[in-house]
Amino acid sequence: MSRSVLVTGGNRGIGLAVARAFADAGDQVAVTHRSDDPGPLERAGLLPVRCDLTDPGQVERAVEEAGARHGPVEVLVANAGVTRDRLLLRMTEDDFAAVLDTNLTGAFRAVRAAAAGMLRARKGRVVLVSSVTGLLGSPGQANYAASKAGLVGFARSLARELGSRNITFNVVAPGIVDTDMTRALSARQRADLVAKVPLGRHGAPREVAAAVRFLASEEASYITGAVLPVDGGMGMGH
Amino acid sequence: MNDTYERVVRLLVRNFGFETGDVSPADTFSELELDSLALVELTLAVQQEFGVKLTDDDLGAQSTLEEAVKVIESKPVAA
Repeated sequence: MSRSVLVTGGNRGIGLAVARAFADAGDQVAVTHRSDDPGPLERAGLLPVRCDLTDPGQVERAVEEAGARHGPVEVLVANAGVTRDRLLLRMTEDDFAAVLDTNLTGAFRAVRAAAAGMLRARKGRVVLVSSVTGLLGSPGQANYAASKAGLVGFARSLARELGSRNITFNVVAPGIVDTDMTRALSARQRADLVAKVPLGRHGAPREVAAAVRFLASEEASYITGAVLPVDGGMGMGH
Repeated sequence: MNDTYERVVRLLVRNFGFETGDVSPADTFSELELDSLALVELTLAVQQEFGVKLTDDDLGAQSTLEEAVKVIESKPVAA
């Protein structure tokens, strides 16, 4: 059964792995991106939709475009995220607000735009990509961690609000995953982080994608409001 | 009642499991036990069925079906 799937921030890293996993399973997948060259996405069999998640109009148009090509969005993966790591006393209001605007408010915009179609269909699957940092905390990432923790309350509220309409909301909380975002860290920082992971290594994007795909699957029909860590055990107990 | 009323009743039957005989023009949505989420759903369904744009306040819990029909008929049909 081919579903209409939309993945925000699907042009690289975890988002791209998620998009590919759905496409490989036969779903029709649209991905939002901000980059200039949609060629690689098209060659991967994905529908690239240019969209800045901080612009409500663009988000609505992206959902409409995915709907026009693939039918109303049945599975939404809110994955797009940015970092602006700074120690608190160097963090400007703009550093904080900009990260919240993409990571948390951007997820809100995407979910709101897609929810009308899910309500009409009386079914839907929403997976929000959070981070181990959201519950564990991380020095220099107060803005990022706050945005990722916010996704949990957001998802759980909607799980209650829309559960009666067969729409599920779940959160995946990746740990240290090998992406451009973590490659920006120094070797020392990465080594320190991996030392905190019981499995003793960083994760691969496809390992996160597998969890996302499960939560969006028919098999996960009785799971909503869950936070599924995919972190090698790093955040255990949180 | 008129054609608009019949179409609204059809939406209630199709989306919320009512029988046509269950509802009458003087019933409020509250009396029909449509909660706030159901009113959001009905608003979406009306917009699609009639091609009109409704605000969040157009269909209230205390509106009767008769009043809702008047609100829908007062809206310009979108191009």
